[in-house]
Amino acid sequence: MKKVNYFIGNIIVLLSIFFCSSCEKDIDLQLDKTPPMLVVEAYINNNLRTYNYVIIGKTVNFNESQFANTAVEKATVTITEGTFEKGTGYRWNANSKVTMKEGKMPSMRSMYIPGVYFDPRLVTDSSQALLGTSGKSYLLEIVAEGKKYSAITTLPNPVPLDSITNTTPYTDKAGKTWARLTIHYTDPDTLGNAQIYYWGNRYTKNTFGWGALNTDRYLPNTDELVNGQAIHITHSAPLEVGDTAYYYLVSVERQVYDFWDSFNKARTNSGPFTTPVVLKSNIQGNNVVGCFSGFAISSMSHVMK
Amino acid sequence: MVNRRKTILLKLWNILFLFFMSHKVVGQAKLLKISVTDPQHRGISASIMAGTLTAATDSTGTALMNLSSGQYLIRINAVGFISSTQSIILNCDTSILFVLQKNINLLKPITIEADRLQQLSQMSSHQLNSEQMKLLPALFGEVDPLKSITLFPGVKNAGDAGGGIYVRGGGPDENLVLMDGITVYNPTHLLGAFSIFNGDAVSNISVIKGGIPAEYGGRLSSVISVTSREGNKDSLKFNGGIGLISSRITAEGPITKGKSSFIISARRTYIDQLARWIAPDSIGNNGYYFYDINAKLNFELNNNNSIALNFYKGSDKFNYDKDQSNGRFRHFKANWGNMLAGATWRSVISKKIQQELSLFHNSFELGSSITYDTDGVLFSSGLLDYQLKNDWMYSVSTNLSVKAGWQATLHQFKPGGGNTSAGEQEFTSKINKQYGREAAAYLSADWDVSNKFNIIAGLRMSYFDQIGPKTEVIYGKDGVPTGKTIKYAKGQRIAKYMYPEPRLAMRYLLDQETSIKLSYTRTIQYLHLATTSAATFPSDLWIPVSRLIKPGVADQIAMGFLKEFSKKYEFSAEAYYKKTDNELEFMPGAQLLLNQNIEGEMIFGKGKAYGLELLLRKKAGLFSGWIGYTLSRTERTFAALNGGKPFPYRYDRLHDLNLVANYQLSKKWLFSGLFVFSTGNALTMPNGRFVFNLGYNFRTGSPIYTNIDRYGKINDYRMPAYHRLDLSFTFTPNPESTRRFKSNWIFGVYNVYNRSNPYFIYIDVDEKKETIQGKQVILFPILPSISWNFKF
Repeated sequence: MKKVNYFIGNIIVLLSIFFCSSCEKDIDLQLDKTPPMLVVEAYINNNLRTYNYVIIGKTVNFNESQFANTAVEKATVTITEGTFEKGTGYRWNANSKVTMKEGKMPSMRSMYIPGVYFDPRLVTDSSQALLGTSGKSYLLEIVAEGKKYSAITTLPNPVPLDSITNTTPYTDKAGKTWARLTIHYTDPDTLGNAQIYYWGNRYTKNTFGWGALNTDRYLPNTDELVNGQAIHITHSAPLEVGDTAYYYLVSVERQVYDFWDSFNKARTNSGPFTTPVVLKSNIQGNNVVGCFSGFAISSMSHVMK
Repeated sequence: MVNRRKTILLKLWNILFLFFMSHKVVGQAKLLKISVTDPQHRGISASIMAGTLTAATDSTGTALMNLSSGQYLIRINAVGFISSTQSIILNCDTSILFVLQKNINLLKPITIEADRLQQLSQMSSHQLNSEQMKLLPALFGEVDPLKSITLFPGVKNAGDAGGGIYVRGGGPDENLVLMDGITVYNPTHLLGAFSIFNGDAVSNISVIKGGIPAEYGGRLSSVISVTSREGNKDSLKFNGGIGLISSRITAEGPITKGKSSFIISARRTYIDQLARWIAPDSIGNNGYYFYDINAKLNFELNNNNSIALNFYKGSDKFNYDKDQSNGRFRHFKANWGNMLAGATWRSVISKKIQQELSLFHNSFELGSSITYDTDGVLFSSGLLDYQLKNDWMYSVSTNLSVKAGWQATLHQFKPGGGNTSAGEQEFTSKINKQYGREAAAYLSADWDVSNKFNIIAGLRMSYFDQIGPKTEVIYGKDGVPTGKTIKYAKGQRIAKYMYPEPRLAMRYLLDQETSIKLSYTRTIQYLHLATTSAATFPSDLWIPVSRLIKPGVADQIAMGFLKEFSKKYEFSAEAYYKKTDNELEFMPGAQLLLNQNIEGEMIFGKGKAYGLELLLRKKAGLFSGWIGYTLSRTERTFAALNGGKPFPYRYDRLHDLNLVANYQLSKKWLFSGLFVFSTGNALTMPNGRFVFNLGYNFRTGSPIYTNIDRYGKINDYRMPAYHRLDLSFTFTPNPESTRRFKSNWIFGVYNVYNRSNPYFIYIDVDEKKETIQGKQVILFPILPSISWNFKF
């Protein structure tokens, strides 16, 4: 449903067309300074062991020149598997506890990136490294700079992809031929399912991380309007014919969906027509923001024709 | 508790009833009917003084006064007209017609005696007629009645191109905007840059900021009433104008000479046509325009009965196509507009009783379609009302009159429905229509306790219920539908509210030139406007109260001091304190359109506003105008925002200053100037940022991320102060011509010293260059305008 934001965007075009006299100038903004806040970006999924990781950083004052992640190093980070039952609540399996470490991972081309925590078994025995299971819950515990933080996420059942096709190709003015991905799946007959869509292609081959994959920010991805229906979604972004798309249909619990929904709103956050969007968070603790995202993935590849 | 409240209300009604019934007629009252018209026999708004007693004409230019037998000096004041005085001996029921002459283009007084405000009991009110509005410099030379009233203290606008009006700390949805009595829900074109009121079709505009009479209700902050012009009852006339962005034409004349008239006005912008003519290739099908049509028919059936029929239709139309060379494209098409229609029957039943019965209909519709590559959105929304209204006025005696009336409105809200699609997939949103019934009854007494002391006391009882048919989807606390629904049958009540709204206004004359005034007003609002932005969008939705959404409640106390000096100057000082409850805000990032669970995004809080308003007005002479100054504070408190602490309202502005000056340079040249200054609006700005959604590109060796803003206190940042000087010169080539055809030229300059007033501020974060820069968008630099106006 976020596509209705287009309405506002187009209205801004209206103003600029009508008042062609409008202009802008640089100004010096004196903004408040505040103590830093901890930022947690953590993932647990059932499909890609290397994509289960925790990134810990800090906020900076707005005018600071720092742009990359302000890493928080040498934190104690653990992930524990458990189950949730009505009445008894969460039961954590102490034997499943995995301590995540900073280090040079093969998936990172053995680069050391501070503030990024992995299961060390990815180096020693990657087949045994941390992997999420549908229906299970996961407890993230962090001790950073002497303070404790925690978060819980649950992996729903993944919704299987039926097939992937692409739209009729078209050739642009530069002579390249493009087409768009259409994915086909059936929404489960229970209300409250939510999906996030990611895909990789030739341009993401030399990248790592969920943030490097392609995603669709504008699609309706809860099932309130399409509960139980056969879904056929075409993504706007075109891919070149001949390219191979690696598609991940990610089912998430509502709390995780709400976080990414607020993230997509927060990233487009400016101008007179919007109110400031505060990122939601499922991390417990003082002065912290972020999300522990449980991803239940169905994947499929498709060669663009 | 409920019973106790009912008992108190019952007692209050009883006291009012007994008071009116027991009031004995003093002396032998005679009816004085005064009709005030312009030279074309069109009724005009005027204030009347008969000895020490005052009255005001209604929208037809008629006033009824019950006076004791005796000799009176009658003085008529009407803005834009030369005052008239006549001495009469009243010993029987009498009717007098005053035909006032306009005082434009006389070298003597160019303006414009206002009402003698210190004599009137109504406080916190301002009025402008069409002649005064036309004197004011305007953006692109477009006379805008709605914008012109924001030049008075306590009435604020949002800045350049902001359509909202903010009265004494109230929100843009808290003003009852009426056109000939019909409620207008979306009174602007082009996101608020222009109002829907065509200057040629409007007779006058008034705003009541406090001491709101009991006959008005439904909004918390003010009543903004626009009266459209009546047609000429004597001969066929045309007038119009050609301006930079639009042209106007009006035709008016008698249907039956001296008895009935018609008037029809039309306006259309043509910047789209000009652009297509100048640059057909680059403009293509893109374009925007709006139009308005106003029509009014007046029938005088006999001396005591008249009927008025009003009609308005206006629409904005926008089309935008953009095809990129890489095969991506964007199409956007939107139409929106108001339609108003009304019929009013006025009758004088006896020398003591008159009544007015009105049937109104209004609607607002938005239709839009947006396509972005394979994604599409079809979105439509709207509302419509049917209203029946009846007002009675009873002159009990020379010093007591009573007003009573009722109104009933059927509302239908279409909060938005439509399709979104992603390729072949369609997501159909069926947002339920909502139905509401609003009703009110009032009783109000205007009592001259003595020659100096006047009280207007009134009570309004208002009622609202939301009714079926409706299928209500039940949501869990996490915002996920539970799968359960509640079905309400057609006409079945879903929620109901009823509130008493006491009103009190008192005036005490210290002498004939000086008065003090005091008022208390309680107002209730049963409709909320769902908007999160600073601009007025056609996609903003009106939402009725429901089981979860409570009505807004406002209590205001105002005190005033008014003094007239040598009949040329008028000074007023008013202080007010207002507190409101159930103010509506939305959760940050709320999804308003196509959201079945919009109530889940709402939060409710309290408001507080207080201030001092000063106005010094020169009413007559070659030089006229006013200085208005407002010192005010407005804050909101929401448990879910700003940690529950009070924060400044977006339009909290400590200082607002308006200077308006008109000067008749010669018979041919008239000068007008306007200067406005206001403290910058409050804004929420980030106090930090962080990166999220990280990834790493090994080929380039660089991280991939998204910058996210971190926010602290709400509305803690101040935009730069807003100030601007506008000038205009009106040139009338042949001011003393007796020919039928007359014309004038208006040359204007908007923002004379090219002040860079911020329309909005944003922060440009360039992640590639790793730079951060504050940016200020300026909508209107210095803008000259020219328009030619004619009549024949």
